Amino acid sequence: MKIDMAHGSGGNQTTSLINDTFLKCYGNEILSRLEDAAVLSVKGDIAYTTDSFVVTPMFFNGGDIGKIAICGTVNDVAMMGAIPKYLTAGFIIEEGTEIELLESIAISMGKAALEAGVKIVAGDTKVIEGNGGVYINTSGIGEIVKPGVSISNCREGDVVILSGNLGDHHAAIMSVRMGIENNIASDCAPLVSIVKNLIDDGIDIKCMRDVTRGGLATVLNEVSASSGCGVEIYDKNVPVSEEVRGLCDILGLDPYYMANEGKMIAVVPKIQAEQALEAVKKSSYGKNAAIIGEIVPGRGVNAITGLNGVRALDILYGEGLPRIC
Amino acid sequence: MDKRKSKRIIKKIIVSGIVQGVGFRPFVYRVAKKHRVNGTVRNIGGIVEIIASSPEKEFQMFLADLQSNDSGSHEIKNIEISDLTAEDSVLQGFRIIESMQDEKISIIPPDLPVCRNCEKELFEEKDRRFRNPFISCMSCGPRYTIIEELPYDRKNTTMEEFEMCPSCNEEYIDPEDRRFHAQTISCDECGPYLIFRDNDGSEGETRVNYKQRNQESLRRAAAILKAGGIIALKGIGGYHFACSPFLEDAVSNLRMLKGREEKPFAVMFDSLASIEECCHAGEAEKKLLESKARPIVLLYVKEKRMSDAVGKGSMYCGAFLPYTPLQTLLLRECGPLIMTSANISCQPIIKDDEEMLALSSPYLAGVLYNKRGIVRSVDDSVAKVVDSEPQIIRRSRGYVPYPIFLKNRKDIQIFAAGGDLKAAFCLYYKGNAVVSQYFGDLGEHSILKEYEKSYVDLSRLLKVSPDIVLCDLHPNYHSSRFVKSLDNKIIYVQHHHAHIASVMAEHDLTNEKVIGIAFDGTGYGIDGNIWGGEFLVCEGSNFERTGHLEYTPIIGGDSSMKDAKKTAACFLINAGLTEYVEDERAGIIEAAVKNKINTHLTSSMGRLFDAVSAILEIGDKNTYEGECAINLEKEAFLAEKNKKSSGMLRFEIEENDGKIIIKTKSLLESLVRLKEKEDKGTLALSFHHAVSDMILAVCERIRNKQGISSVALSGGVFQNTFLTEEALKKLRLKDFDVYINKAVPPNDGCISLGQTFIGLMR
Ligand SMILES: [Fe+3]
Ligand SMILES: [Mg+2]
Ligand SMILES: [Zn+2]
Ligand SMILES: [Zn+2]
Repeated sequence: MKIDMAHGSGGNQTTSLINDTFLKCYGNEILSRLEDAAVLSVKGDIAYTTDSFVVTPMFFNGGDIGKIAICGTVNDVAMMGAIPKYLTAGFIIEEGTEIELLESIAISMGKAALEAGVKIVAGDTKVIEGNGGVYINTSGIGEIVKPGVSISNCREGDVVILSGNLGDHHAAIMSVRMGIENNIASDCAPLVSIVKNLIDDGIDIKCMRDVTRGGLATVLNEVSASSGCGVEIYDKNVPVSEEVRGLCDILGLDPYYMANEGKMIAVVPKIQAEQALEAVKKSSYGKNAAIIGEIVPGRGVNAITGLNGVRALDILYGEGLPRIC
Repeated sequence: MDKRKSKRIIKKIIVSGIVQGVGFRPFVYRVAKKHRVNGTVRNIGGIVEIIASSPEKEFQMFLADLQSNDSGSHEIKNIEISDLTAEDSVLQGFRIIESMQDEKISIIPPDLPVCRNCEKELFEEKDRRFRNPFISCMSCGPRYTIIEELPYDRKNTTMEEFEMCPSCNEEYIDPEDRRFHAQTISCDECGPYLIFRDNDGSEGETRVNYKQRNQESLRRAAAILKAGGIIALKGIGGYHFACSPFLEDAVSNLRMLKGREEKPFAVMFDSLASIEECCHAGEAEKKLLESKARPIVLLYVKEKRMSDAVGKGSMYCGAFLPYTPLQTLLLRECGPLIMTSANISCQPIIKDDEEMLALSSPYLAGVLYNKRGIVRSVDDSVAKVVDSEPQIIRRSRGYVPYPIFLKNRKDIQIFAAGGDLKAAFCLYYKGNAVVSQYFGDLGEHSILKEYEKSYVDLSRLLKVSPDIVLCDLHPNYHSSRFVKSLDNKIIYVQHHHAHIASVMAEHDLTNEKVIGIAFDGTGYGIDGNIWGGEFLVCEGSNFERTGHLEYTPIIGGDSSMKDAKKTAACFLINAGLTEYVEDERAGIIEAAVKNKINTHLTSSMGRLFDAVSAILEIGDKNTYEGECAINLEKEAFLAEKNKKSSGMLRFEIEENDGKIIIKTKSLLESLVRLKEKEDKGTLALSFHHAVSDMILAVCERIRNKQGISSVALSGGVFQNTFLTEEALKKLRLKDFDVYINKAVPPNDGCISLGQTFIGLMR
């Protein structure tokens, strides 16, 4: 069956959509009350964020829009040194969307929420004219366990840990868009376990950031700007899978600028570098983690290339615009 | 004597050109003495003012001698003479007036090669500077690279460290001596002196005097070179790596030392005669080789005497002559030597002793150096002869910072940032456009830092604080980003417009419309696409894009631009010739092109040259800039020499709403079909003809419509001598006035001059 305007009317069909799809897939004692608002109890300070998800294609190797909608918000909350607790999920659905498709998105959201240890406690559904598109907004709150984690805290002598291979998500999406088959899967994942490990192991985390749109280069530029420091990255330490590297070579893409959905950086004091790396690696999503660079005096982000070349990793305008004349 | 008969006239003479720091005032002094002219000579901000009082006849002889000089290092560009009415009695004898401290602007002389007089002394056993590796005089020696402050005075140079001995001092203060006020004066008494440090860190016998040390260091270095070793030696704008071009092992070791660099190496020869043993050099080439800049001159290789590893199959050899006394001495001893800038991979040339001495490599056998500091690193310049005239390919040592004089003397100051690759900036004040030395790719951090430092350095020396700042339109150019940090009003200039404007600046095309043909690799277009095969109608500071090569989607990223095979695949796919793509990546490339994954529309002629080179299996990668196109030119050149017929390829030209689109599809189609039957040389030749025919055809269309008959050619593609000369020939035959870059390179080294011109014309 397909979604039509009636599904957004607030009447019968809306109710059955909520019951048969959303509640079935990710219901819980709070959401099931179907009150006007969820009543929550939290301890101490909270981290609170929101994000909207517009993904084409909606399904790809390694994930789908639903999984990204959960992980994206969960990860943003976790990056503040918080343990994510509750999410809301709002849907804007275009007419003509198969209910089955919606259901698989919801199932995926349920699974991801379970893994991330969060409950979806409130939601909303709207239907608009269109052609089968689905857009999701999630917001989330988490309890701050490690206060003071901030992008403005990085200082000379700190090191930068990256939780795993760059570019998987971007490459997976590109592959679907190109209709080519390969083994590249999106890295879409909740990073809560990595954050927990770091906190549990007593790491004095300076800053954490998930590496999403704009890639590592963009995140590191934000670090540099907010902390008033320079960042130096060693090319040879930055993990990129063989297959993604190969695809990048052909497509002229730069892994430093490619999007990820399950990668983060943690900036930690140098003396805790190895310990922190071990903590990250304990999580199944941190197996390929590496210490990729450090905070240095000055401004801007530089990558140290082979033969001691240094390349500035500026924020880019326009993907892959060649300079070479 | 009857005073009436020898009535004295009094004149003011203003001389401009290379007239400061090159011994011009002492030259004027000597000429004045010779003709018993009274008066004064002094520097005023970049020009020289002479007050001359003498009888008419003597004055004319004085003036003639002044202009006919060819032994000095000065170059007179212009002389203005006016009458003065001051009292005759004021002028007694002839005096050189010292520069005033408050001189607003000065011209910094470029570095000069060892002059004939000094070279003669160098080999004269009785001379006190016999075999002194630092011999110099008023008309020769380093300048720009040792000047720390202006005015150009010994205390403001890195020669300050070396105290003049009494003999040198005597020469220095004697207006009759050719070392009068020669700031670089030195000898075996006062130093600097040569040091040779070998791999074990040994500097030989150090208790001996400078004279002995000089000769001992030279001897040790020469022994290593003759045995096939590689040494670093300190030059003018930085260090060189040197080794024999005849020993295969030495040359391949040099490639390892430089980080597997693939570019052909330049070779320094001891004489024109020895150059002619290896290369073809006509009169124009010889003149260029011996010119004051002593550039590396690209010559056709004559005979395969040198190791294959030197030129890597190129038909050109970059040849040059010694310009320091040290090089002269060493080459007399060792014969021709590869002399390549000492840098690793794409790093800047090494100029500091500590850095050079710290470089340890199994391939480097020693360092021949001295303790005279180099203030700024400046690479060797590269030039060649096109259309019987010199054309600069890399404008650096010997040319920089000598200004390009523009007719427009508008009283504003300009900083033009230039391009990002082959970067060079330009500072403009009062008719002088000072284009900086060549830096290289600003994507390399250390090169960007050098560029930024040099901007501060040169604008301070020239006292330029820009009213206008210009840069390229490309959002990711490092030069454009640097400009944004300057807190100044910025004017963005389209890349190819700047190319054409540089030609307009050089040839003073200020009052007419010009058909600009800008063919290069890539430049950011005003429509956000990647341009590079452009026909622009330019006038003043404006341009209109009248025609271009049809758009082809190519895969983005700087690395893709080096991959000619990938480029060929993109062109063939776009032309519907997918079945001719010979590339294991064809499937993915096709999918990317069809689905617009990281693709850009380009009208680049440079990329078309790459594609054709790859389709003809002449080259499939640019390991250095322009490699595929250079090899394509080589095949065409050889085919022409062997009188191969051509003319099998041509471009179709379409016109929509007055816009001329040059189609590539049918040309590519003929190419892949003919590939089976014809040899690649014939097709390479035919392609070159197709491009020059197309140039003419498009120009004729534009002339028919707009009546414009001035044509300016610029862009890296026109470094192709064969194409440029073909285009010139065809256009001139149809009465077009054609202009090309001469003083600045046709490649991106010209961008900053073009930007400056546009800034001035606004
Ligand atoms: Fe260009
Ligand atoms: Mg987010
Ligand atoms: Zn001299
Ligand atoms: Zn002396």
